[in-house]
Amino acid sequence: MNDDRSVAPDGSPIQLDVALRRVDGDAEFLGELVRTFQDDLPERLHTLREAILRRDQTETARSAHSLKGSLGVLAAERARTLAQELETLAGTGRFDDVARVWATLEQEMVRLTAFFTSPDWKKRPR
Amino acid sequence: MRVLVADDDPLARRLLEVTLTRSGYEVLAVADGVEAWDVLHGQDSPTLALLDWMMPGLTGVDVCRKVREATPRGPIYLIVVTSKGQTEDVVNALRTGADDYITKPFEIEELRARLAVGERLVTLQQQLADRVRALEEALAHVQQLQGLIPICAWCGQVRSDGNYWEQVESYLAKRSGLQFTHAICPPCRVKASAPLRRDAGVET
Repeated sequence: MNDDRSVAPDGSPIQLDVALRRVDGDAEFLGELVRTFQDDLPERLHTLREAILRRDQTETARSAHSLKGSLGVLAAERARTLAQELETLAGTGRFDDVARVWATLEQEMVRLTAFFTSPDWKKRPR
Repeated sequence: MRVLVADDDPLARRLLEVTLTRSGYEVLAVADGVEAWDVLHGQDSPTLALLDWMMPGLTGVDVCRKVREATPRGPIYLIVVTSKGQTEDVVNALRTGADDYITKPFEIEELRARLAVGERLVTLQQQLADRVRALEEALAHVQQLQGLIPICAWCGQVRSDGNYWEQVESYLAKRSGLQFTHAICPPCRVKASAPLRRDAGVET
């Protein structure tokens, strides 16, 4: 699925130049935002997963929407697009499609977390 | 200028809090719509507000509606932050009481520019309100001088609202803010000095 326009040109899960522009180029502050994101992420994914398993339309849409907002701040465009898709599908109650998109989003979140775990992620080529 | 940031997403809230503080705003950040309404409804509320559309409790649009339905405490500029890009959503937000909207994810420069527009409008509205208040006060004085004023044909005193008779100058001073200095006009000076001149044997 790397033909997606939301993937950064260098293949990384975030568009670092965009993310840095959002924080006025302050890499330290971006790092603080990423730490907050990483700290909250397990609980947010757990909430979303449980909502999907319960086929809870409202909670799935709400959790996906919330995750989408944070991913947007970090310019994680591919993950953000998937979260948006999940939100829309949950609203229509199409849970078979929700499960499919959730599986892709989970993989993307693993990739994103691995990216942020790398000590030099802020120095990646833009 | 003070700005309220209402967003349930901790990342978006922190981003706005830090970048807007660095831009010179005094930022008050809350995590849901009910808190946002409490702040905007309270004393000394901010004059600019950034309200996320989707929030627990009350949505940003709900908050806009409540602000516009309440008795105005002064000018306030409301910007709804939304990931909904549909025209009908935007129209709905603006009709409900939002002054502007910005779509997530946004560029911080665009947000600063939109806040600057809000700041200009709030300042203009405040200046206009001050001017209207000053004009109303001036008009109140003018209205007190309207109508028929009874004046004594013999001594020149006028009758005030409380049925007291007083000098014209004190009557006008109380109602218009006019101040008088006292002098003697040439005919009165001749008239007043005549007895003195006569007593002194000076011919008039």
